[in-house]
Amino acid sequence: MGEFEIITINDKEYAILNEVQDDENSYIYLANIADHDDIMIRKRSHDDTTLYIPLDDDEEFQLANLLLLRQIYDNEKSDY
Amino acid sequence: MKYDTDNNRRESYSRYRDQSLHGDAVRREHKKKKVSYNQYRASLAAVCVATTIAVSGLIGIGNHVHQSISDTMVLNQMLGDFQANVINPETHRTNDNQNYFYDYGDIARRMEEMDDFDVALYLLDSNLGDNQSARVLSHTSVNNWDNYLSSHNYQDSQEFREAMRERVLLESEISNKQEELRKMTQEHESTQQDDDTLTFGGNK
Repeated sequence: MGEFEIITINDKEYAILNEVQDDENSYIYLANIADHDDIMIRKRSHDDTTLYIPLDDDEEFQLANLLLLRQIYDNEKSDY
Repeated sequence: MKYDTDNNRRESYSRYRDQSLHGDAVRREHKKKKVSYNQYRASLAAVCVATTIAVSGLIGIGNHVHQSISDTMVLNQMLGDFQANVINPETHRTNDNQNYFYDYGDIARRMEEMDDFDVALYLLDSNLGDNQSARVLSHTSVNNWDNYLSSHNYQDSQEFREAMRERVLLESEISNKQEELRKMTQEHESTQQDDDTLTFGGNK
């Protein structure tokens, strides 16, 4: 068992699987702890840093996925 | 069966995208809970599959001809820059002017000063080939190819090249996306300023 930070959305609990930051934004990757296919990304609001909001558009969705891919790649390489 | 798996992945991806672009804002509660590693691994795998689908059209995993052309352009640009900035300054004519030689030590020093040594090694290998790059490596802390490949868990140099090619394309795509978003934000801000000018200044 591992301990994960949890966020509740519509009465469902989501674990924060990953957190990635680039120059402009901070992204969190969430998975429903009762349904591992129920996943989503949120980003930290610039106006209220405790608030995590949906992404702006497909461009940002792709960027967030590329950043996650880079982090997974970096983690894999640093394991060796 | 394959059809079902593909369909399920597409549906999961579609839901992942929709939920990421729409829905509620949330606040972090800083509440912790124990989750089994199996559940964590299954979730991470789902994210990885969806992430791969999301970027598959972007970094050459798909078979789109235009994408391979664009990948080749990115790689050629990087190879050209590396040659101009790292190799050419350390390429010298022999005294009789009939031949040339590389200053391996200085190429190694320049590579070690670069942000990402792995990428530098990939570009060196692509430019000069295995034999010459081995001579450069002997002037670095890595010492030789076998040390480098085994310490990074690559089975052989081919696996290293393929992994680094994807890495280089991924970095390039991230930069492009960041640049696009930066431009969009700037355009949005300048439109806002124009609107404000109209509001405060009345009719232009």
